[in-house]
Amino acid sequence: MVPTMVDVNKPSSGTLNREAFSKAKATGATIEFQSVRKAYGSVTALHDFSLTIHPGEFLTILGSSGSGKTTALNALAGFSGADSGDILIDGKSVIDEPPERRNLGMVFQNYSLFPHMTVFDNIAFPLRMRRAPRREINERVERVLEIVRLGALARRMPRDLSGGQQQRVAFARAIVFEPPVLLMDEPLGALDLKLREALQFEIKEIQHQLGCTVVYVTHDQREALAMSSRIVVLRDGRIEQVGTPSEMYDAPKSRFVADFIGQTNLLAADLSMAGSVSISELGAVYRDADSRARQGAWYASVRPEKLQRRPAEGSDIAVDVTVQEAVFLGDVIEYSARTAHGALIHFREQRRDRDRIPERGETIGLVLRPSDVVLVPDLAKTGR
Amino acid sequence: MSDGVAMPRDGKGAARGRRAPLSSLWLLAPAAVLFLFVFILPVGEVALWSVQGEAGLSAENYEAALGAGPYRTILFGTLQLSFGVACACILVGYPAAYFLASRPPRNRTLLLLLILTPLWVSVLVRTFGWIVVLGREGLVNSMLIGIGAVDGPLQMLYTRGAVYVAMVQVLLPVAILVMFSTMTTINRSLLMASRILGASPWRGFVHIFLPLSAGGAVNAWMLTFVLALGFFITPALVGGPKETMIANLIATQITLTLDWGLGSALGMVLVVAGFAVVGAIALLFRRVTGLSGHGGSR
Repeated sequence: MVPTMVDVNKPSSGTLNREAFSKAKATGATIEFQSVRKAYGSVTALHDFSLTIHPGEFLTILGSSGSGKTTALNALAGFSGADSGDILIDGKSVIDEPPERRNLGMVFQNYSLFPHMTVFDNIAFPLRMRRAPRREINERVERVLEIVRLGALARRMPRDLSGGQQQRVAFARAIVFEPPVLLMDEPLGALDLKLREALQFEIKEIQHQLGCTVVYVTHDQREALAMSSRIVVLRDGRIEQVGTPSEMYDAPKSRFVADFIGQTNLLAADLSMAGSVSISELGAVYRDADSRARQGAWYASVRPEKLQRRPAEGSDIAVDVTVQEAVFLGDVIEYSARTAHGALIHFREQRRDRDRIPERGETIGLVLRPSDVVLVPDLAKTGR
Repeated sequence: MSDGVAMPRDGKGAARGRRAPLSSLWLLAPAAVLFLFVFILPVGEVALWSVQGEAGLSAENYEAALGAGPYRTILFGTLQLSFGVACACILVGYPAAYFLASRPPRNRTLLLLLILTPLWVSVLVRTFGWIVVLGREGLVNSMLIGIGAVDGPLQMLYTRGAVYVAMVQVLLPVAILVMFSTMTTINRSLLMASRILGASPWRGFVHIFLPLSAGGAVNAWMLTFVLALGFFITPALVGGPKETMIANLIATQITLTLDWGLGSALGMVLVVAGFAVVGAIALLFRRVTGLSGHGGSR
């Protein structure tokens, strides 16, 4: 059989270089999706998906199930073709290449460790498929086992490992050949919360060391915020918004993104041609010159931490609410409360020393800066 | 690195640690009673007959069965034929099982049904079918003569080849079924993983699918081998005198010559030989792969 891989990291001498692995950062690749479209029967899973992912970027494709995020990843991995469009890695079209010729590392949702191979053999697999010499395989596998701190378990079978250990073996197997691109399909989904958070940091740290481009797929917006350099929110096979985590949180461009990323209060807003915004559920009216040009159904997105208990100043919006529930979380107290206009809103505040927690039924005054209100259109209603 | 999830460390996983509670053992009772009356007791009785000579206990029956002579030849012939038939079933059945297992589940039902249909027809009828096909004026000969490929009818019936073909045909569905059921437990995402990690489809098959399905193939081999050992009707109808199987010989001893002692001894030899071969294969497979007959699946 002919060798099917071109190892981009392979020096001309023909052997993989240990120095290169330990010192030089593998440079991540650029990935370009060009109007990729994929349909399954009558269902279009991905509509004209276009996106450029920069070298070394940690890009998260975020969406709920059926949003097309797995379709996009599978198209990049080569598991399912695209009906139209192209995918370029470092400027070269890979759309007609089978998965084994794309030189991508991948961590699967259920790890997909080979059950009949030891931890060592699992990790050595991509190197063996690339026909690396035995000595080099040993060196690389040992090194990567050290990186994921599993050296002692090299001879174990996958079934003898805990979920977290299996996840790290899958990760080691995906990076052992220093791929310029690492794909991760909900890699932490099967783990409990605490382990998930610990591994988030580890994955980030190792990615910094390796410098590879990461395409990460998840439905967990907290994971996306914590790990990504950029997030793509997919909805019904279309890109809803692309941006850094803080852009997505602070300046969502649609009701869907505002609601999907972080917690928020979404309240119907009336925008007048005269340039005033009225949020009837808060009993608030304020001026916003931008609102004149806006049409259709709009919502005011108010993050829970933006509603504060403090004296009103300047143009602040004051809202009186009746406390429904106060949830004590240690450093933070989360409230749900009802406005005089009947809307249920959520807000939270940092707990200062020995603050008295308002009781159910108590009426308290909240203050909100108009600049903290983000107006978002409901794209589903206004059309695209 | 902290690690919150604890899993059984024991190599054999949960299966070894878990004991069936006594209260659920009664579920085994019907099978155990049946097994006692239709297997243990009769085999015990046969074992007793086999060591009874003219005057009390004697090994003379075993001397006759295992000493140089026609009986030993037939015994080895039977083992050889069964070995060949089992191997042929695996070679022919594996690709078919692979094909079945790679269909989407909704398409499998019909295909499985097609494979299983022959099992609904009695072995006797199927064997008579082969007489019709292979006989002097059978389908194959008529066709060959019709197209002028041969001048006169070929001798196909009452040959070793006929026994092979007929026995493989009878046992093939069983082999396919056993291998198919192992193959369906193999997680297909493992093959996707092998591809993205650099394996061509062929190497993915060799390194991942083949080792994981080998357990099923070994199980299928053992089952078809044991079933073939006891074959009686098929070799009697389509084989010649040379293809006499030990089961035919036993029948002759019991029903014609009425030498129940020798028949019993031959029967015991067959049981022990079967156990020995199957045990050796199972041990060998374990040694080679480190897996039990039920291949890894996850």
